[in-house]
Amino acid sequence: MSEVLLSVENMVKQFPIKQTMFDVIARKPKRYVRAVDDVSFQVQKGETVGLVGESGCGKSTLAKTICRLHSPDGGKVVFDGMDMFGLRSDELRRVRYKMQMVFQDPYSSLNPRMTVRQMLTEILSVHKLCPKEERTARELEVLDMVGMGENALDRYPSQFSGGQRQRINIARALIMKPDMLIADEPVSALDVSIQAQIINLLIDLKNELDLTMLFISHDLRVVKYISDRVVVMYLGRIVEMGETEELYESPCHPYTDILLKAAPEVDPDSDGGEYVIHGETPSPIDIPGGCRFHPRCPYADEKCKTVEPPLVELWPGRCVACHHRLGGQGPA
Amino acid sequence: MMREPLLSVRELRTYFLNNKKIVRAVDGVSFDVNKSEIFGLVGESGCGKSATCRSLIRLVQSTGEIVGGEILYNGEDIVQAPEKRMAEIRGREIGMIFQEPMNTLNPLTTIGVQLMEVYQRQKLSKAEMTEKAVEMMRLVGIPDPVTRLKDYPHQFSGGMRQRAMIAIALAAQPKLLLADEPTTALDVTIQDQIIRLLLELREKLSMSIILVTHDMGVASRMCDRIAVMYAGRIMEITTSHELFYNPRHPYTLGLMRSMPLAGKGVRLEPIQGTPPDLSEEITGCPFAPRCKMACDRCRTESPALREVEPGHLSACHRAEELTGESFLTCKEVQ
Amino acid sequence: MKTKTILSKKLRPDRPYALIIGGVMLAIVLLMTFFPSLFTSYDPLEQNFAIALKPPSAEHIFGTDNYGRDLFTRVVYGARVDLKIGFLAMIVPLFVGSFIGLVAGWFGGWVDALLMRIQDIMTAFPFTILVIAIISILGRSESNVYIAIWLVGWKDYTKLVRSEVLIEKNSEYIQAVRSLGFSDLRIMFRHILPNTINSAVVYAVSDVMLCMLVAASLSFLGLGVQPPVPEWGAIISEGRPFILNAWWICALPGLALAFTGTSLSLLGEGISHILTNDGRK
Repeated sequence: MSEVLLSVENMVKQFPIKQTMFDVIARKPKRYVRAVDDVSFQVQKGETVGLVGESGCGKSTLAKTICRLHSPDGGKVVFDGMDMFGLRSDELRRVRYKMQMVFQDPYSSLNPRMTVRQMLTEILSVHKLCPKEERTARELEVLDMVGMGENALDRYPSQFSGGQRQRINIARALIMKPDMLIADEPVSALDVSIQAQIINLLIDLKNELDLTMLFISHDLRVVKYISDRVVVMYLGRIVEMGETEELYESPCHPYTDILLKAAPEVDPDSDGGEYVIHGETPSPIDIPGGCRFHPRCPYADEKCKTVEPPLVELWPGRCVACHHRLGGQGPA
Repeated sequence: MMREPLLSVRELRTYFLNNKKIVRAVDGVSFDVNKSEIFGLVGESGCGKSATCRSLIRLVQSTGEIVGGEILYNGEDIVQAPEKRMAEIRGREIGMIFQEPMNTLNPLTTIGVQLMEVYQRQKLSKAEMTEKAVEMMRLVGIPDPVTRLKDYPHQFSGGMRQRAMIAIALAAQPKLLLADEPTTALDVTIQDQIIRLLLELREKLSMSIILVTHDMGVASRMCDRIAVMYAGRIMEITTSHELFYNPRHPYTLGLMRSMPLAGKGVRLEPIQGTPPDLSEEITGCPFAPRCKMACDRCRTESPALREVEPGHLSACHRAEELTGESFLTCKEVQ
Repeated sequence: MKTKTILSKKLRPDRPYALIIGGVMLAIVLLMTFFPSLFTSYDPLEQNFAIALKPPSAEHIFGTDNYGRDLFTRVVYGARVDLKIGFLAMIVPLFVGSFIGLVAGWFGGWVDALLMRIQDIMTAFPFTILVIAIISILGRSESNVYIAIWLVGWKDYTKLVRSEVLIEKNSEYIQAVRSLGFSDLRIMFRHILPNTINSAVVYAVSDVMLCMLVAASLSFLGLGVQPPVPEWGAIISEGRPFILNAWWICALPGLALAFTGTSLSLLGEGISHILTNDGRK
């Protein structure tokens, strides 16, 4: 069995809702948005896990909390044997680079006032992992990995296109030779043809450098293409996870099913099927009782309104949280 | 049988001013839109699809303007029409919906007031107006329309807001609806609802829709005919079926090969390079620098949009060599 | 076609007129500061009662005051005093205030709350009143003018920088450097500060004028620079008893203030144009 690189256990992250002066005087209890609510999953070394869900499902918060860009409100993250939430801040600073993030927005994710060289050199000098005279060589090596040349070194971010900026972002994440890459919607802001370039790049780098990847996206097509396993989130909870092919072929959770059917297929002869989903995702402030999906679920009954279904493992690697799970005949 | 098109665009040019340079955002675009047809304008960001759409009702940003061509709507040239006539055409003849309804709806008045504003010109009584507004809200599938009329835009969810915007755009029963990325800001499940709504409304009201989108999936679901744009020009126009099963432009094919349609392990074939800078003079075909098929002729002579098959227009010198390729070849290798 | 002409008209390059004009005006004032003898051959302190209260003439272009001193000379020599006050009074709040803003914005929490409440309290009092109050506690002197303005002036910079830090703090590039394991100090000074200091710098340029005006009003009230030092506010104050029959003593130093003020605000505008227009390229 391959070893587990990242293990997330019962993670909770909540954000307080700002109270008005009146609320404070009236001593109303503080309310919270539970962006990530009791989420557990594992990532094996060397695999790519896709994390999908619609906006507001907590996928981005989850990623940022794993990296401790947000401080967690509960649970545990074990990365490479280290308890990430238990680390002191100076210890954290030393190991942080082993898990790197690639962000969504190629424009705001680079400091506009630093050249690519300044950006990369700073990282190398802070962590002192590379002798001074070898820095330039290392910088060129990492730029070469992402398909950029020496002439990129002394330019500012504003001189690059969106796709090139995303390459620089990836270079920045890779220069410290991390074990894991967390990519938060890395291609969502890019055009299809550029998107394909970046996806190819990520796949190549993953194979070359033996990276483990958590790939977050709302685009089901991209996730299907890139991931080995998929985790589906809805309103801060995992509703289903499993092997990519299997999950796309036979979804067990009605939400996964609907999500897959709603994504428009590139096929001029398809009419999108008969299936229509009603309603919209409720606000994470007022999460419905029972199963979170029940107000929109075509199979919901009385039990769904009151009892929240636990995430159960159907067979190794396949989990679903539903009282009325669909098909799913088991691994072929 | 020749059908008279509802809208006919000829050699439209809209230029913008950016950093002291003229950007040829729309550079000689021609197409026809028939009655009750959904016509798609697809392409990547900066290809001029949105600028084309906005030019059609002369709502280009202040840094740009229509510098040439004609837009014939029912035989009347919109480019030359006086501003007063334009105000009549906007809304009553041609409606428009946008990507982000929150930026288009007035946050300070209720949806009902914004909807009824449209009827004020028709000098109806208050009761009649309310009745019409409720009818409109029902048409676009907003539940409980009577009470929701009194709600403000922020009280609507994303999908409902988009429906409200559609209701306002359609209130005066325009014959043509311009939809600029109407589903891009929405989640897939909501996107699916809005696509279905637009398709249904087209049937009910027999209006034409010009859909601007970057998403080939959405375009293939909705459109009867599709124009693929690149660098301010149209590369290819044909029916949606033809476009996907028999594309006759290397750019269209490149877009399809860039999409992860096949399973894992089938390598994507992205178009190399980046789109040209539209503030610089382009000689030859704008796609030539990125095109695998480009020859010397492509680099010197700009290809005209010509009919390569009945009803299938392509702006490629070598369109004939592209037969038997389709998105299925990208899809089925798995 | 009419439309085409509009496009071509817009094509004309716009020059940084504000910067050029402001720069030239300030250069004149600076020249007065460093080489006053270039402009006048009189002594600012030399009294000659024979020609007291003479209106502007070819010999004394600004006229003379009640002691018969050449007013133009006093205005020229006053530039040195006023600019020095303006600059020194601005520079300390610029650094201290920006630093406090950076700390408050970055760390947030109680540090931020405390600093912002102090700032709120100070905002509740008019600037000049607060300065006067502090001077009356410390006693009249030029150095106390600086101290008083420093004690009050930082809050504007803090407010400006803090609000920008709050925006910048959540941007993705800051999250990226955080995930790279950089220390707080490094992130604050290397990454956040260069991206947030712009507005404070622009404000500082016009703040020089504000400080000069405060200093001038203090002299006018007799709280700042003491006579016979040629300071513009002091000169105006001295001319006050004669305003009905010798208008020039009050009006012409006022003109000098206005001239310097205009130069600084034009300069500030020009600089802000350059800074917001990406000092990044």
